[in-house]
Formats: sequence, structure tokens, C-alpha cells
Amino acid sequence: MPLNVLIVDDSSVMRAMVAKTLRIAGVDIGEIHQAANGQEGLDALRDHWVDLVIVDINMPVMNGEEMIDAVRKDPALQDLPIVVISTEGSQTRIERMERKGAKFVHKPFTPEVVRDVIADLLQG
Amino acid sequence: MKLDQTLYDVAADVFESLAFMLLMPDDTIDTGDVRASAVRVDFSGPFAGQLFLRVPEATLSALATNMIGLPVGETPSAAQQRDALREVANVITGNLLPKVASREAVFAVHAPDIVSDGAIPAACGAGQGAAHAKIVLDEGFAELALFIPESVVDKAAASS
Repeated sequence: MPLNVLIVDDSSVMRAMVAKTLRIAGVDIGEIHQAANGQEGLDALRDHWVDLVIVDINMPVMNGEEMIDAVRKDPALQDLPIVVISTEGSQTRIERMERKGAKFVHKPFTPEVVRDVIADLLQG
Repeated sequence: MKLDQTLYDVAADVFESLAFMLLMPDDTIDTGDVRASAVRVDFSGPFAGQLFLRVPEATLSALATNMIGLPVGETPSAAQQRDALREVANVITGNLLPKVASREAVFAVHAPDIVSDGAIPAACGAGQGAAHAKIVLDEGFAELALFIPESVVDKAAASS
């Protein structure tokens, strides 16, 4: 069944790269929604049915971690699969994301890594 | 110098894997007298510093085209090119800092800023050491400079 995906990153080029990577990886994509920060991401989740969120961490207005916290607090969204795609290099911060139930993919990424992480997340 | 090599290796990996650009062996390329764009990334944490990245216009256009995956014949807009440059600098910085500091260190990497004159400064702040790298690519070149406290540069050199 096609996945409706929300891509949240303040870089429009990176959002395009993620969308391209999902297609190359063979992920069955339905609709792709985009947001430039965590607040826009939350707004998009209210307006659209989303099956998977792919989010960066460092963004203005509302960062990715803040967005994940808001999602996990919302009963309607709390079980939403989330993949963090970020340059974040701090193991401390990465483990914090994972404790919030998100999977982590490091930039730069390959289609294979993204595909495997999504498959693992959706099976779990 | 070890930090120069670390900077080169990280940046080269990002250009290859994120922008699909091939590294070329030519070390004699003239990087001075070309129209170029530059970006600055400030970071803070265990120590503060800046990363500068400079690429010529032709390389920048190819960079954005490759990252976005534009169809043949389509040219990226100026905004897309600037965004691509910022994002590459952001990814290089994020991958570099754990190698310079440690994987446990937590840095705040600030949003990259386009440098208005397209140049990398010779120095950036008192007491700052520097590392430099020049990457020759199939589509041109990229120049980088990392400015961090001299004590961190010295520590990196001592560990080599």
C-alpha cells in the first residue's frame, strides 16, 4: 500500500533529495508533503493523512526534536513512524531521538540505507 | 597537517555521496581568479568556530543539479544553488565536528550564511587556528577553511 510521506527540512534542496532517494530506493510512495520547519510539519499533519514522517533536526522556528515531542504527545499522532535524517554527529543526541521512537539516518545517506531503515521501522 | 587531511576527507566524501561529484587528481588547478560563491557555517559547543566553503559558479550549478536530480537541460535557480551550497556546507560541518572533537560532544551548528563577496577570509578571530583543503572535482573545485581555537588544532596535530 502506498505510503503518504511528510518530509520536514528547512532546505528545499534536501527535501527534493529525500523525495528522489525514496523513489530510487523503491519505496511505494503515495503523496509527498513537505514542510520547512517543525511547526509547518505539525500543520501538515493536521491537514493530511501521513503514514511516515522524515524530519531533520536543526531547523528554525521549531526544530525536529521539538516536533517529535509534540507528535508523541498527541494521541492521534503518537504512534506515527518517524525517521530522522540529519547531520547530527553527537551520539548523545542520536540516542535521545531513538528513545523517542525515531529511527536515525545520517547525512549523507544512500537509497539502500533509507530503504532498509523504513522497512525496519514499518515492520516493528 | 592532520586536520587539513581530515577536512579534505570529510568534504570529499560529502561531495561524492551527496552531490555525486567525482574527485580528480589534478592539484594544479587555479582557484583564485574565478567568480565563486561562498558560505559560512558558525558552530558552538565544546569550542566555537567557523567553516567556510567556496565553489565557482559552474561547480555550484552542477552541484545543485545533481542534488536535486534535475532533468537534462534544466538549470537550477539561483535560490536552489544557494540552498545546495548551504546544505553541503551544513553536512560537511556536521560530519567534521565529531572527528575533530568526539562523538559524544554536542555542538550547535548554526544555519549557513552566504558570504557576500564570495571569498574565504585569511583569518577569522584572534587565537584561531585554521585548516584548509582544496578538492578538485570533475565539475570544478571546492575550497574549504576551518577556523577553530589554536589549542584544538594543536591537539589534533599532536594526536597524529
